[in-house]
Amino acid sequence: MKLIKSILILMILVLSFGFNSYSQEDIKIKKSDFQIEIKEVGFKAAWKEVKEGEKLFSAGLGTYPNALELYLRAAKYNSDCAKLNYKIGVCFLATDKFYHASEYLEKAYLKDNKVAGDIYLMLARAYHLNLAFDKAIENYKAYFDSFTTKEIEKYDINVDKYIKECRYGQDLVNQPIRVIINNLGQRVNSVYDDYNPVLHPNNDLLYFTSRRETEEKDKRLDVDNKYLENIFVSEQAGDLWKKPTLVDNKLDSKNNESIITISADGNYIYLYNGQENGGDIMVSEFKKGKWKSPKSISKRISSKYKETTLTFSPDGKEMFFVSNQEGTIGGMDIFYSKLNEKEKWTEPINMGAAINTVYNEEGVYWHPKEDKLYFSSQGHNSMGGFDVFYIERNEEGFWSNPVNMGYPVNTPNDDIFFKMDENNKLAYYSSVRDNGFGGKDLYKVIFLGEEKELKLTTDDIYLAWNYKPVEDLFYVNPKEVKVDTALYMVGQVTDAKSGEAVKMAKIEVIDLEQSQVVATGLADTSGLYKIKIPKKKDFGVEVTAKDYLFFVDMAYLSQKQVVDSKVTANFQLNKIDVGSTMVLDNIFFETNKATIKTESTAELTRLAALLVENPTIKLEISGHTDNVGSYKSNQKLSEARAKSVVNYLVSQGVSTDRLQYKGYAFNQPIADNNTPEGRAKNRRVEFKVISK
Amino acid sequence: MRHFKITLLMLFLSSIAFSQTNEIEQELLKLKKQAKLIYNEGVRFAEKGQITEAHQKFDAALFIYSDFDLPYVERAKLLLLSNELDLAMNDCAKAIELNDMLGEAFYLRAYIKLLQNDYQNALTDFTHAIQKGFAEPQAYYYRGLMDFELKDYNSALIDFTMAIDKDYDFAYAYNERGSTKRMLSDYHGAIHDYKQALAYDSTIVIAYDNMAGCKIKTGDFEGALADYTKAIEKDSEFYIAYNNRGNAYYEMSNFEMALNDFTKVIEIKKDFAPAYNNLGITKIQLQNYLGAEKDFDIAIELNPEYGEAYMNRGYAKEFLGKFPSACADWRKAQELGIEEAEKYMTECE
Repeated sequence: MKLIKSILILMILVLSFGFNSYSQEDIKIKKSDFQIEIKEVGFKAAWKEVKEGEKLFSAGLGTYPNALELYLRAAKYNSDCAKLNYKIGVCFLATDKFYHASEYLEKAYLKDNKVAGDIYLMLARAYHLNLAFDKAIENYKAYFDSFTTKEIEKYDINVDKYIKECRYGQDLVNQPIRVIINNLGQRVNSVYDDYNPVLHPNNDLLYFTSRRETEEKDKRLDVDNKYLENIFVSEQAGDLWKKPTLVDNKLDSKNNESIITISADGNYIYLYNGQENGGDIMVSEFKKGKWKSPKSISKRISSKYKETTLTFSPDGKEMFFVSNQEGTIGGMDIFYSKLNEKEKWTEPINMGAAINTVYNEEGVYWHPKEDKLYFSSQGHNSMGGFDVFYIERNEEGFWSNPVNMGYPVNTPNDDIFFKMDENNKLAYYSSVRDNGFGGKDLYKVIFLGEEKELKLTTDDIYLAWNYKPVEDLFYVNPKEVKVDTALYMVGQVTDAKSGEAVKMAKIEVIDLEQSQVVATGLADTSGLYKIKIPKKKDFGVEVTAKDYLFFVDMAYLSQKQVVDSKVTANFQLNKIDVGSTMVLDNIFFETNKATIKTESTAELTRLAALLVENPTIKLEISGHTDNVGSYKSNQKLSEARAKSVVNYLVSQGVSTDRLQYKGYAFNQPIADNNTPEGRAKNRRVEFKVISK
Repeated sequence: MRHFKITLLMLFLSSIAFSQTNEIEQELLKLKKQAKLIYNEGVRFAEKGQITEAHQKFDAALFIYSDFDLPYVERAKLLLLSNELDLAMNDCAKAIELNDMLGEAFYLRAYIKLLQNDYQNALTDFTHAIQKGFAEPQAYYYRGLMDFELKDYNSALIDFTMAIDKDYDFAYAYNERGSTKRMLSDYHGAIHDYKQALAYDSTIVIAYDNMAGCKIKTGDFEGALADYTKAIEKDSEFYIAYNNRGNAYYEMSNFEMALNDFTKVIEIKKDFAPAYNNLGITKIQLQNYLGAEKDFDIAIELNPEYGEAYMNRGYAKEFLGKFPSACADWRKAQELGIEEAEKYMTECE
């Protein structure tokens, strides 16, 4: 019996006006169901909460949230009571927190799979609302299978619609449309149902219907135990809406009233009055700064049946409205009327089976600019409850088949009273979503265009030079230039007597420390020479020329001035004439002896070379001394020394008949014997050319 | 007779002239030698880093012999070290006037033009320098930079390679060559060069950032993250690396980490417009559309010609339902050359 009752309720609610339709058993929780074996502290208080909750649950949908609160508190004492979990799940299904329902219903089922005759149905509903369509279908089928064939036939049990809704839902969820859906906020929405948003044409006021508790109206409707409908208005403050207030009491009486729409000029407001003539549409005019008392619209439109919503074409000459008057296909249907030539509304006609279904249609709204009608329906390819659809009229005047607005605008819950703006970018409507504040809430929908690519910006540097330039990287070390710093000895070789240039004289520069010739030069035809010397120091110089006696001396370059890298040294040569004499300064003897020292070799070699180069000359080699000692000894010494020289020359191949030797002792001084320097000079060997 | 006398006179005068010319030449040679000696002193000072003394010597050398090309070159270098570009340019010009085969003078002039962002003419002068025998690694390196800036990556590759051949541990050249390879889509080659750059100079932090950029191209996001992190560890103010790492996180859909990095960029460099743009994009992904809009506002304030920011802000506004304003932004983006904005405009019609 309880089952039959629940099926009937199911059928009624499915066909009733615009609420989330399902049925549940009102199973009673017994003490024995709830009490834990061992009595614990807290049972009394918890049981009290259960009983209070039961009362509220039995009162109807409107107090399910209150019952839920109590059940949840009781569950803290005993969270394993199957019936309690079932009741909690069912309560959640009636709220915007429906996503919690499955948790408790599953628990109830696991504890007792026969906790309620409709446990499968409740589970299916929970899954359905949570978009778990496969599980929902499974449980709808299980629910169906829980009946016998007889029961199915007898009570016309049918879950096909629900299953179809699940399949439609799967299709719609797989092709979501690009929208942002924003709750209008806690300031506007309440914990009760808030729906049917109507924007004033100036976009600065938002009217809507709410079933919230007010001081003026605290009655509840029997059918669902929810507070009566009231009309509220909220003023815009930037991007937000201010706290809403009840509208002028001319518009909102103590009865059940709901806002429907406002005319394009803002001067007429249309309301639904639930108490009037079975539910009629009323209109109020705004005149002289006030709303006048609403009166019924055309009798053509208002019938003894229920008319709930209407909408006008942009030019105001056509109208759609919703009614359950005679001629409906099922439940509430959409009807059409237009103004005739007498400015009267024509007899309404049903929009037909292409648009109306055996279920309810509701919430009509004509696009402010286009030939497009939005409405909600529990039929067509709704994924559950009311879904928003639209139809378009072509140039021939034919309306298209309804098109589902798509997910996520539509959900398995009620999505209804959809109002699109003229740019097709913004809409307002009411829905039951998981981010709501209780019951139906008002939402703003932002329609996004195609998906757009967001452009990240990179600002790579790539080059180390740009990241951290090295200021002196460019710098290449300089190199010194070569400068000609050579030193030259320059001068002229001339004849000692005539002063004429001696051509082709050979000049040899001798490093006495190393005993080697370091540079050699040849005088030119002018007797001029230029010899590169390694450094500015004192050198020995030997100058030789044909027909001239050789010249050996020191070039004291260290004392000379360098001008343009040159030091000057001139030399005079004596011709080889009979009677020419020359002191051999570089022949040295052991003291008081005639033994020639080895350092005399160079001089002796020069002398020998002179004789070789001038093969006809004959020389007298003479020895001389200073005046120290006796004449005899000096004479002997000087002669012996001269002879030593001759002997050397003969040993070098010079013929003896070309050489004479003589010792002159101190008879031919060339310097003052009174000084050591003079005496040193006098101690010498000379040669004289005696014939050519 | 008269003819003879004239001839004699001519010979006499010639000999005087010749004698005088010879004297002048001799005097000139003396001056040149003196100038060279002073120049060499300047070189020695320069080698020791005594810039002022070196400068004085070069001045002195030129005072003695003003047509001496090398002191102009060396003086130009010292002027460049002191950032006296105009004076350095004058000296380079003078050196070239005196000796148009002096490669180093062209090199320095090219370098000055580089500093003045006159890339094309700098490139020309670097080429002259090299052709005239100044084949130092720096010449190739800088010419490579010019090639790169002018987007002639093939030439840049050759030049950086030459620089490396002449100086095997030229770390900067490795990095630049790596970036050149990157532009030529040789990412593995680029990574190899970046590693070489770091092997020779671990302070070239940009190489880590560049390497990471290549790794992203090859799909190695984890490797890229590690490199960006390394760059940041070495230079905590390296906002580019933070920005790029943020981009990497974004591409990996790790929006929270991306957000952190972009925020860090702004902490370091408040006026870095791209960071605000990227922050805005990330906030869009995190559905913080209001926050995103504000970030794009700042990006545009910093760079009023920032087309991408206009486009992205339009997107944020679309999410906020501010459609006419979104259209205005897309229109502006289109005006600023963002091609994609054109198709968005169709939604505004």
